[in-house]
Amino acid sequence: MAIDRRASLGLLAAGLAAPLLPQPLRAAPAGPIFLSARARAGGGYAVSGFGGSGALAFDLPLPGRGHSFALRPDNRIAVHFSRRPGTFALAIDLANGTVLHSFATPPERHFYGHGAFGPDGRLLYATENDFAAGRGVIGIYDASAGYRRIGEFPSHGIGPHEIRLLSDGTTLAVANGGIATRPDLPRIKLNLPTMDPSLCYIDRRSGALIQKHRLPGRLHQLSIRHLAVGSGDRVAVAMQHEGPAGHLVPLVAIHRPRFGFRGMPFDRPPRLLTATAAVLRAMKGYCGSVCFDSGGAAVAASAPRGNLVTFWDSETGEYLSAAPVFDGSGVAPAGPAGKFVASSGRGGVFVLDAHSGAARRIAGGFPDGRRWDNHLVAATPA
Amino acid sequence: MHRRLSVSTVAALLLLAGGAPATAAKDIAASDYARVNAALVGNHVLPRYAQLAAATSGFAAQAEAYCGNGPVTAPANLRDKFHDAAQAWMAVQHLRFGPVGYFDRLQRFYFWPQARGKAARAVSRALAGDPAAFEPARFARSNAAVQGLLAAEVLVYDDRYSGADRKDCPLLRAVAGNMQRMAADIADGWRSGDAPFARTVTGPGPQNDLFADHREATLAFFRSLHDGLQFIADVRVAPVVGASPDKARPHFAESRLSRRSMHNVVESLEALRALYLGEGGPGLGDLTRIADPKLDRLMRKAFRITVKTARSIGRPLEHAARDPALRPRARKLSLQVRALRQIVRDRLAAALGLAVGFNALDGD
Repeated sequence: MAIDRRASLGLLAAGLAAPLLPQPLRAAPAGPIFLSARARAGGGYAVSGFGGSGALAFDLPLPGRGHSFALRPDNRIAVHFSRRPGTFALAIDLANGTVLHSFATPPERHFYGHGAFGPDGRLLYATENDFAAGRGVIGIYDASAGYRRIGEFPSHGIGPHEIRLLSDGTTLAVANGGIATRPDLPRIKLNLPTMDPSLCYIDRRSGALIQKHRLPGRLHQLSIRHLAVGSGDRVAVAMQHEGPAGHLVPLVAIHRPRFGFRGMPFDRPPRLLTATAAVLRAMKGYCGSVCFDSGGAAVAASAPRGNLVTFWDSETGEYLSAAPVFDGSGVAPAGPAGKFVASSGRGGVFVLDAHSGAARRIAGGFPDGRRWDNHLVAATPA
Repeated sequence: MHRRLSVSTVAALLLLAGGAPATAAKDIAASDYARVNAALVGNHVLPRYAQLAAATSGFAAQAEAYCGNGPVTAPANLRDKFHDAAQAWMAVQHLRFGPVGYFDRLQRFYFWPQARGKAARAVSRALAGDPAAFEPARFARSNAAVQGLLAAEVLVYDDRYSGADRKDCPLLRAVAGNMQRMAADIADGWRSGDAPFARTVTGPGPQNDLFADHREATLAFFRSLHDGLQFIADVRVAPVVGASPDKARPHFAESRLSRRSMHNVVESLEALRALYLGEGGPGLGDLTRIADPKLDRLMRKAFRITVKTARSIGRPLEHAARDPALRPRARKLSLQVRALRQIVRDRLAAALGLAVGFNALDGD
């Protein structure tokens, strides 16, 4: 167990970093811990945490491929979810990397790989598949009772994927990807001709649908997959195109939800962000993950099939730049505004600059040479 | 766990058979990628789509013959033409980019395994519904399960249909005509029009919406190879064979009515082998030979033994999975296809200089 407590990402990004040897972990790390699932060299999967300089915080073997995390609001505990159609989840103590609880979906459900905590950290909401009925649900787990599943409500769509809590503490933003799957046909998309993705806002207390946003009909094969929530409850949306390759479609959207009585008076659609044909071509119709920077002004949306991470202005919606990262899918905010960390499926993590598109490897640490899976999450324990 | 070990064992054997992996790939020139792409378009893609157009046209003509005013033709005639069409589809199913992807044609032509076990009901429901729904433009927007090969198989093999009453003719004509139109449109889309897709593949560049350079176009063929092997292993074979005899699932088999499940596997494997070896010109393997000749020998050997195993079974997969004498061969086939796919993913991509990470190849 080791963690680096001297270097912060801010220093690294400013180019002041020196290679640091891993140090024994004596206390919770001062800077953020970056969390990600990975594929192990000899086969099998793991979930790892590392500090901003690449020093290992923890590394846990997984029974199957992992996907993403729900961070408790105090950032001291992260729940790691298996990738669909996986059914396991682990609650990890980020202070020492121990597994506090492992739990699973009921047999008639599986996880989609994402979840979100309520504001007090007691209830956990996870996107799940009710595959017999062919509908998405949000499973509710009680962390204070060993993550016992205490109920569920509909996601109001098929294939719910990422889920995030808005700042009011009651509204969940849910990306219903629209793609129907079944565990007995794990990677087969069952309904591409009729898919109907949506961005839904749901009251976590009642499960009531507050707003549902669909894309224009010609974009019905654009799967709304990943979400991030920034300051002022700006919601960044990253999408994956299931229509013909080469049909250039927007892949990133920004939504600023406004909720009036039953959501109606101030209901306005997400804004689809445009870029030049060259940019859209390079993104290859596919975004892997999305996040805001620490200031909330810049959005990073990874495009692993295009081997790049794109950056967008969350206020104006303008395309800013792109940074090259081979098989780069995971993105997380680094310390300073405009800076991000991205992880590569070939190995390594990189500090990226949203305005210049520069990418610099964080060399010499645990992430080097390890194959990082879809998502990277930054936790800064309170 | 046990299964993973076995696959690794097969992969390890294959690796030993082919020698040690190359340490670094030699450079493949842009002109090499261009040459292989052009040859695959001309010798692999276009003739196979032309064959699909011809075979579906033959099936449509036979459907007209059966449904016309003359004497009722024997179901065997329809079945022969159905086999031709099914065989032609299996020979191109691995090509999933280009015009076949437009207008949901992939799903409309063959909605399997999505509609596994649901085709018969979809057919009877369509026949009970409004005949106006068979008008071509409307039919093209209907449930994908009734539009293509799956429905055709039910109509020509299920004893309730293709009888003397010709009651199924409105749907049979709609399905056969729909398949014929899709196949013709796919073939045309590659060859003709303002922007033939063949030119998209062979003429990459900054103005090309799909391929920035020749290597990217080769990557599309590589993905066809990889995804085709994965589909055979994970969808066609493994679920039917199962890890143990009590886990065999005959009802998961493909084309059960027409007893084609093993034919489909063989035809698909042969198509993928042709993509690798080339037919009447270079294939992907010509690039492997430049970069890593040992790997090329391994690939050829792996294809040879896998196809041999597939051909040795000689019965529908759902039968082989439960037959004590044939089950070991079906298991071997399952492992060999998985091993082949593993070699393609772990070694061939790198040798060919094709950048595909595992997030890009299988993200979520």
